[in-house]
Amino acid sequence: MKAREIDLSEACGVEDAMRRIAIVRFAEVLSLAPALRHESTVALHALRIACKRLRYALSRFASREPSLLEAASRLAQLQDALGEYHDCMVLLEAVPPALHATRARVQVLADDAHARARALWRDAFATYGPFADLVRFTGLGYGLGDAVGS
Amino acid sequence: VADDRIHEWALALEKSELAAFGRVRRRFLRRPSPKRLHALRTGARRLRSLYEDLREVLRCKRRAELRRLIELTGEARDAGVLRDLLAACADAREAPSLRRIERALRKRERAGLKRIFRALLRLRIEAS
Repeated sequence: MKAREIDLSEACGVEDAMRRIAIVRFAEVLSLAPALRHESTVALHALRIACKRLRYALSRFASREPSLLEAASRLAQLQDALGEYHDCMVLLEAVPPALHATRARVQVLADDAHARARALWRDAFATYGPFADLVRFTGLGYGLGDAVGS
Repeated sequence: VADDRIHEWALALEKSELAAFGRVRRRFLRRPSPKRLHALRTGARRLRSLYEDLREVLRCKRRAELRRLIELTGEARDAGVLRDLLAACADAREAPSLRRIERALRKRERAGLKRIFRALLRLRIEAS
């Protein structure tokens, strides 16, 4: 998925530019998060890429807004779980259906990674959870923990 | 962008990401390894992400080459990761049939590493 463009033409100062970037990148993640309810490989891969973009942005802001590092760290965990799921699905495409035992083992890992991603997402929105400061900083995602990805 | 402070901030970020990319590039060229490939891929993606976030402020003069490098590192990285995953999940009774897939992945990984090497030798990214 192509990255959304960010309008900084009216940004006033670095803090404002950071906020505008975080809002666009977090909105990308939120719009793709419903993929966690299903097991669409393509949609989950797009969510992983969006998590990565947001994480890179937040880690660049660390020196000015260290409170966002907790969200960046949770995004890294989410990204890992989604990455493992994606790798398993790609491998399943390469392993012939006749090789049942190996396929079953890969599927167990995929299911585990998917469940982990869902749990990481849900927990991120808890009160004082890893996304609390990101939600405050961007003004996005209030009350979404229960609704999205659960 | 009217605000000079944003411009200065963006240039400082670019300088830092370019320096980080330069380091992982040199390390990979000196001795390629899966760990160094991962670091190279991360460095290239972080750089691209910076240019995406600050497109209005920074200009990447080597966008196509950077995109190509990210694609190449993805191919080699995927082949390596899938090979490890296959080795971890392989059922002993099915091992003979899986060897063909393993060999194909190894071949893809090696070919990918060579292409990355060539692409890196050509790639020169300068600051905006």
